[in-house]
Amino acid sequence: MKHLKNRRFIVWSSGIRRGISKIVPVVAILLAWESWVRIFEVPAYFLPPVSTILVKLGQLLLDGELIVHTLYTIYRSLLGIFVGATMGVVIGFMMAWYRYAEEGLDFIIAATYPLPKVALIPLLMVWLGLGEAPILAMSVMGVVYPVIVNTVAGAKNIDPLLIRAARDLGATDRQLFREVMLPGSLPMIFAGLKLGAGIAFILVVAAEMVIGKYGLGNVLAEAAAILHLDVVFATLLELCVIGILLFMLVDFLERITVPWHSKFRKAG
Amino acid sequence: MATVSVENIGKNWGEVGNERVEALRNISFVLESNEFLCIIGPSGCGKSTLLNIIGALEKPTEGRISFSDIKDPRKPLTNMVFQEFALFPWKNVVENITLGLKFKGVASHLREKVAHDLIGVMRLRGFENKYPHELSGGMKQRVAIARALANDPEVMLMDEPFGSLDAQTRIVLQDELLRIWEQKRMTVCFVTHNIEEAILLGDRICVMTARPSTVKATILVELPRPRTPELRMSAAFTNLYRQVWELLKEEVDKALYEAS
Repeated sequence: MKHLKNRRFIVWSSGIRRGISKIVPVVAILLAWESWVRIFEVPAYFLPPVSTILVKLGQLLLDGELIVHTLYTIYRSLLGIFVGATMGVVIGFMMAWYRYAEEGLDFIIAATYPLPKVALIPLLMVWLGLGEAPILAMSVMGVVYPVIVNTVAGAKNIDPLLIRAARDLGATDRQLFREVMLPGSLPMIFAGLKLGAGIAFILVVAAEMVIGKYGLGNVLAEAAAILHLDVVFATLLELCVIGILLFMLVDFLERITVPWHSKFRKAG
Repeated sequence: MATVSVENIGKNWGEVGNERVEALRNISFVLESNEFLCIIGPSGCGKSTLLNIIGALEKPTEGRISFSDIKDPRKPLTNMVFQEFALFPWKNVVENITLGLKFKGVASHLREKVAHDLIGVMRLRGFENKYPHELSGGMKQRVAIARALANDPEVMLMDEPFGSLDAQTRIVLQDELLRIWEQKRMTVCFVTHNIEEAILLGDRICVMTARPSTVKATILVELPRPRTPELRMSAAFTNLYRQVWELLKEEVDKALYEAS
């Protein structure tokens, strides 16, 4: 009992130690930044002090307006991720299952995947106007490609022995898909989704900088245009936090959907 | 329990390079109802292919498989136990065991009941909610056997089921399989390359030749049942061992020579 307690203490204290080693460099950089700006009297339109940025962020959040912009950005990202992931999984499985679907789509995807999606913003503005549509389209495009590619790879990497075993147990095509292909592909699908969620978030902010009246991208672009760098930095800080939360959300979804994956080995 | 007639089965693996690979040639035998038949042969002779053909997982190039004396047409004809277990990593022990029943549309409380019984038979109590990666090789194969038993096929096909287990676990599982077979008296077709295993388990042993494989001889194993692992030390067992090895030796040499 006693050594159990000690063990727990060691685990706990090493957690703290790791926490500290993460925080120390951040604090050091922020302190250096603050003192640099104060000592050399760097003008605020070039680089505002950290303290001012934090105060500004607090004000903007209390003010409520930034919250509205934040919700827009999050909503656009999440809707795009949801729609893009659904499309990606459906298209990916079609390609893995039907040979002609793969042959037909493979080239199109290979040709359009490397295209920088931001280059499509002007075109989308012409076609879809200046409202929500072009921003959501960007968001969807960010997710759909990595999810398609990973779904195809996931489905094709399923151990053929498991497919034989399922057939031997009497699975119909539909049962084979539900009980074997889909769960067997989930780890790869989630890997694609993690990648895609990040890209969708980037594309939403990029589109917001050009299109629309709401969203953190919009706040950023407008503040930078009039050299309100404290607002710019406050927004950047918030974008960092949202980005991390987005990643944690997908990670959480993965953990509840694929609980067996933690120590998954093919030898199953 | 059905009788299986294997009639003139041949299998070619298309063209490999310039050579046409003939795996099986003109194989015929009858697997009697409630019989435990072992098929033994050198590595790569096509034993597994033959089993897959009987299990309808592969098509023969020639010949046919027919089932007669089927008591219950609702039962599946065959189910396979694979050497590499082939458990579904995303399903726990109970879900793996009952998957065949789920495919058949059996209600979940009935599936639970079957699983409960088989978990007792296969000594898996306490492992119900474990996933395959949490199990040892011996435990995994117990689950795979339970999964085939749950489906209750007319004929049980076993493709070197203990081939990837360590020697001691193998002995324990052989003993358990004997015990279950004594209770259920199912029709079993068991592929192995282990002579001891074939003698210990089988009523008859089919010795196969090197590729292209045919049936070289069929040996009747007249050892009393119930059999135990200790049977290995008996004189009758040793005699049978010598007899099988005499038949097999030449084929193993041929297979090795071919491969090199």
